Amino acid sequence: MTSQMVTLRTPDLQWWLDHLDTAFAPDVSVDLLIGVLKRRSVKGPDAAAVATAQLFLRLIYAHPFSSIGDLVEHISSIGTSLSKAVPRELAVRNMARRVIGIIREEAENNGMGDLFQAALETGIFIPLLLPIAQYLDSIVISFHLSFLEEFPQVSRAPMKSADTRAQLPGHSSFASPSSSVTGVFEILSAASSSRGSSAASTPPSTGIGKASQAQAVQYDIRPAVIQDIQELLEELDSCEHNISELATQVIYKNEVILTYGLPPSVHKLLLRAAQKREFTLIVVVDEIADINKQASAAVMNRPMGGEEVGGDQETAARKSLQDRGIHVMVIMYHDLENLMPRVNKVIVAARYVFADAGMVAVTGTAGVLMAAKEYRKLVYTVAGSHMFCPMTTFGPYGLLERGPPDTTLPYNPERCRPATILSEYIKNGSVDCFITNNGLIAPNCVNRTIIEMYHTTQCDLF
Amino acid sequence: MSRQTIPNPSDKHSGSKPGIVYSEMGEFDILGHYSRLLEEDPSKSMPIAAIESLCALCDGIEANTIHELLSTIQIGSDTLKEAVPNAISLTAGCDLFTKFITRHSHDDPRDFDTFKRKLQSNGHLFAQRARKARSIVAENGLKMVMNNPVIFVHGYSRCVMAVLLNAREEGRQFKVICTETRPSCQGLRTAKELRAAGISVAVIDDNAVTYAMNKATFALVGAEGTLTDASIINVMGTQNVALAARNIDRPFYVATETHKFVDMFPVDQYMIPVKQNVIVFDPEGVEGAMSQEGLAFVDYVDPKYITSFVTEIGLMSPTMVGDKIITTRLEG
Repeated sequence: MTSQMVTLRTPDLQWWLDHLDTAFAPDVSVDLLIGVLKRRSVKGPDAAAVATAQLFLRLIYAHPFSSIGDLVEHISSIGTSLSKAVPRELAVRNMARRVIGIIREEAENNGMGDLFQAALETGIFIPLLLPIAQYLDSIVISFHLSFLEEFPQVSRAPMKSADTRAQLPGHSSFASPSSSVTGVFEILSAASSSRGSSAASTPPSTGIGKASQAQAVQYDIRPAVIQDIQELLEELDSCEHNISELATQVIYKNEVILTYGLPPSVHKLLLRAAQKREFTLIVVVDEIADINKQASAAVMNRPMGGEEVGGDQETAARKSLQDRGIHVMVIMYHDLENLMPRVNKVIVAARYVFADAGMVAVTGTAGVLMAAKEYRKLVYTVAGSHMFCPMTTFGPYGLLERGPPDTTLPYNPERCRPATILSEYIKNGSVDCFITNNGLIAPNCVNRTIIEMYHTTQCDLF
Repeated sequence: MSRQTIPNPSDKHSGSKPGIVYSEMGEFDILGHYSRLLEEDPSKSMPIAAIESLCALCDGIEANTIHELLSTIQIGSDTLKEAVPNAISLTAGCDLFTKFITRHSHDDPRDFDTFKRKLQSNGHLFAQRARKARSIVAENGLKMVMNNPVIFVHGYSRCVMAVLLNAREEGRQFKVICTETRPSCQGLRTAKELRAAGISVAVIDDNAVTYAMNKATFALVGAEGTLTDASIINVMGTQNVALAARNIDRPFYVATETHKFVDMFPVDQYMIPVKQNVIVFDPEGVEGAMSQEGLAFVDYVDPKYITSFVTEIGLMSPTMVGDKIITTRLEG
């Protein structure tokens, strides 16, 4: 289709992946992705996550490894600049955090956990967490990873920041059971200072010697990291499929299911359920262009405009919901209250989920959830693991996306420009269960899941 | 430091005065030290004072083995808990310190003197970090003060003060509604200090909480202690504020440092380990409410009324707080 033609083309995800395959160059590609993200031609959590993870995979591959601190610095500075491009596209940030989590895991697997910790504590990591939000421009935001997450963990690595170490030089051996820590710190700084000159694995000439960890510093963890990132990419790729595998656990026979629009992830889940069960589906649509388009495409079993070629073929081949014996009703938003009492379950899609189980979803979802709450209906939310963000927020500030004014409405743009807000923030407490590619997750467990997934101990404040 | 070098063989139960650690290594007036610390620095919170007192105890007692040291710390924290009428936030400090020492006791048992010295300076580092925590809470809380809010405050909390004063310094516009918090009049103290910083404050009667809540954007209180189920212990009347806020869907935020998290699990307000005679039928010679002299009554706030905790490790929902405390317990 159009992808084969050499005409003017929006730099979408496919374009970006082609670019990575053919013309990848570390600095250029980072800037390109920033541009692509800024003009929103790669948008949505799925596309942004894949684009970012693919970039990181290649960046790590191309990075001349000298020390873990160096690697972490490299990744986090790029992560910062990427997530600054479109702060509310949290998937970019999430992927950077995932990659750093992977590095941490691999560092710990190779007995270099302290080194990673040291890299974090020297303040390199802090910029990554720097938000966000034009809305909050006036605020001076600073994050404090250098401060202990928790006191009992003091013991594991009490010498967190470089300045405390300087103040209390005598404690380092107490602080950490291995007496070589001070040495390792020196090695680390030596390694990062000699980074420019030394190639891939040239050992820094100073500070090696007796400490057994000195060799460990040189150990290149990149192969393991790359493998993990590839696993992450596979996970992203099979995300919707894995979600749809849970269909039979969620949807039972003869139930009435209500969804808002028919986003692809929910659609696939329902298609899968339709193979096994009979049920009735109510699709709520609204004047919002996205929702309308999505719903009609899904109900009529037509491919969505922006999908890639492979997806189209798959869509064309599959049987529609109706063909699978599902009774589908499309209703308008204002009929919600009439039909809600007859519904058994409500399934919506989230765009992002936070550590406190609050979420961002497409505009109109909150209304559906409120109606569901009113009638005490079960609410399931579909979210891929890349949509789980290791952060919490006070409110919707800076998270909402505004779109162009709706063209269907006959307003004179000179007199009145109706604002369109494309996404909305939903407080925790309205969802009963999250359907993710890692299984069903109760809202109370979201925090734990996120902490484990990102190999972190605390969540940021957006 | 009223340390006595004469060994006292009597065990602590036969000792006459409360708040003094008697052991084979000597005796130490831990309560005295603790109260003096609190008096000297009014901005010091109880867990920190407890930690510092335990540090001083380690210093004052001549322990020769790790076992002796650990048991001294244990006795010290027990003594302190018994001697202070409301020991919840103090318990948090003692438990953290004990956990910290216990874990380190496995680290370097060869040279006991060095170990002890390092332990002591680490205790100070610990206290230093804990103090720093409050300023981080203040910075995290800044994001709460958006769009010229009216903040409802109850009692006097150093954390809340830090958040509000920091927001003021950063140029945020906001107003504060503050209860008097009788009989301790902690609210008046809050109002006075906020007004001194140029923040406009409305002081209301304690009975006017529900009346005034409609005009507030959100409620912000501190906590003496945060318990395992993410309920909080705070000055009497906090539950009123929480209920009033919930009634009209105002967010109820708690500003607290994580060193006030206590692994304790009361199921309601009568199960908290503070003896307070709030409800007494027909007391002799008392006409009004029971007197709160010597012990300010505390209140228990159910986690279901709490929107979020503003801590130095970010904004935490009650679930996350519970999770954090349990994780800490399992780690220790």
